Amino acid sequence: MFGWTGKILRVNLSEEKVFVEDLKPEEHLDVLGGRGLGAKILASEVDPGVEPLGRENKIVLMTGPLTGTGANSGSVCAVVTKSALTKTIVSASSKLYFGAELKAAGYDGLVIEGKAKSPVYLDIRDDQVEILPADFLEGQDTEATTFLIRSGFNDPWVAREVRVLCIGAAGERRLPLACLVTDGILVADSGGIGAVFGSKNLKAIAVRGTKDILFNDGKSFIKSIAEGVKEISTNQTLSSLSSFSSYFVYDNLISKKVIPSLYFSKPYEPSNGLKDISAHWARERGCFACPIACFKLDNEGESFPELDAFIALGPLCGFEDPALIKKAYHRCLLHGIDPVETGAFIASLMRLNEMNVLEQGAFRPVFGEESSYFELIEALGQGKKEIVGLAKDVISLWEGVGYAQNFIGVRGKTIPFNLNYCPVLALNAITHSWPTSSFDIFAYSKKDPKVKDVPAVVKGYQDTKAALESLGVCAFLSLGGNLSTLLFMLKAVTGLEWDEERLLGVGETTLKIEHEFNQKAGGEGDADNLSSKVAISGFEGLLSAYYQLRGWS
Amino acid sequence: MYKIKVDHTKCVGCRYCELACSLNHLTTALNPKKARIRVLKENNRFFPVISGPSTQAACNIKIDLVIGEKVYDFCDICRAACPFKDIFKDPNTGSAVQCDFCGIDAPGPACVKWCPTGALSIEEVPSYI
Repeated sequence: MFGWTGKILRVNLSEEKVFVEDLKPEEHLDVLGGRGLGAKILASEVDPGVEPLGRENKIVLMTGPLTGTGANSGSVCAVVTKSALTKTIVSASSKLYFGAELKAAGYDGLVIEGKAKSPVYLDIRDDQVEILPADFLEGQDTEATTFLIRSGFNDPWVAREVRVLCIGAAGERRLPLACLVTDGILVADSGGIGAVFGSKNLKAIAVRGTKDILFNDGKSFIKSIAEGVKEISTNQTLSSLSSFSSYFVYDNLISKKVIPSLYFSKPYEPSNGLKDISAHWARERGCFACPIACFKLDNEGESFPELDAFIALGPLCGFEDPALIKKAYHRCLLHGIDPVETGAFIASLMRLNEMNVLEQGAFRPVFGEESSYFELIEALGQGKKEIVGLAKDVISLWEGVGYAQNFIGVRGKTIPFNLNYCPVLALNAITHSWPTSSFDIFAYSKKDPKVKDVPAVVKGYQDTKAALESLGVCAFLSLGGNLSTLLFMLKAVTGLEWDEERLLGVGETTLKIEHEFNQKAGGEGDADNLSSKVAISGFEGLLSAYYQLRGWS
Repeated sequence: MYKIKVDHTKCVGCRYCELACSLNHLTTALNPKKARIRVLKENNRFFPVISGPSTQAACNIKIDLVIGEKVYDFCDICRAACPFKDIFKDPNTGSAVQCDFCGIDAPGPACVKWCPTGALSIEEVPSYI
């Protein structure tokens, strides 16, 4: 069937062997591809109780039927595994060009299993797939890793068109905070996956594909893309996303006191507004086939943090200066550590220092103090003993000193928002398959739904997001994209004539698979804890209404 | 005569031009590696490079091109149109691909028509032939 290549690569790192397997998309129409198929494969091949950093855990990278076809915002490759940070299933969205290149190389996805004896990287060039030694990449940051892999090619054009997904030094050291980076951009939701790459001794995946992507009906596909671009450019929410990146909800969140400061001790009251932040944006960057182009770059061409990273590295640690926060963000990306977790870790240390419970001799950072802040980012990124010996992630830092109840987050992942002021964000953070700070739900929910509608809004958002990511399309399209246009594209590419209900059904099935995986994995204790920390009246009622809607116990 | 004008400050690297070009020329398939326009990323900026008409003589004005802090000695920018070091080749057949302008009337050059940011536009230039 068009849209899928019908092949997946199985990479066994223990035996250093690569197998090409057939994939019959007809058998997986319940989950389509991308995030859904990734979850289905992981759930069928991996025991949910597996140790995330153990040899038995697997990493599934999967593109959807629309990834890389040219469909609007169709750039997403889902990276599914059991996370070292949250101990749940997690599906990170690798955007930019990686997914499209993998499709062009002739594969729908990769399944990575086992553990290599020494550091390796995976090199995919169409049919030629090799597991190559990566000793020369050991300890290198993400930018240098990409550069070194590319410098192995003589032709500068070929080198530039090699797409690299890699971890930094933190991932090699298996820190739960480690994330994935592709071409200088953070892979969304990938905190906790970097360590899984590291545990398999897999430093990077490099891919270049030159194959044709075929369509069922090319002419109507071309027509539908033009319509899609027009729709996106005329949609108000997506236009503001395009102009203001994830900061399009910033003013709203500030006025609702949803943005915290000084490790959640009080709401953030900025002395300057969005204008002062946007003054640091020089250019935009877009993913493959995405007219929205929501990444912001500064004058030097380095990417500006998204809203959640900005909050965690900025106000949460007592900083306001966008230039300083951007600099810290850039250091995080180079080291391959999740900026939200890093910010929360440092802010926690600052708070603990204020509470005077830190041992002598340890790092004693103070809110808003620059030098120790950057020192800590370097120490975390390089996995220095003084800091990693103290704790490896935010929750164990708080547990270590006996203040576990002060940790704000779900299942070990920090949610950098004051959830008390926003029931939609709170319910989504707690009930999502992996804890996520998707602030875009705020825009999806039309900003202020009635309290009784919250469970339905959250379910609708989660289903749409999962369905889009299974299609291989960026979840931001749920804010204003038209599902019928996507369905038309799906028909033009694959020949499948679906309606909206069936597409959303894919989202529902995906969430069900992920939910069951997490149930079997156990260890959901903290999810219950957080609901007790959320001081929203009647929150328990919302939670049970949500579960009733889902039909889960 | 007309030519395609490239404003690299507006390019965001979405590569719509590559898709438009390959879709327009292959009609039932997409393959950015067969496109006659490709986006080059250097120094965190994006430069759409068009494989234009071949020049008639060997390059005798080889000068280093400076963009930002980097000096280009690979002939990267010119190479697409260079008859001696042509670089945009069909990955299957190895034959060089070249911009045929896809006509000036609608649908116009597909890349210009599809560019969502306005980095590509059409410009009329005097013809000396």
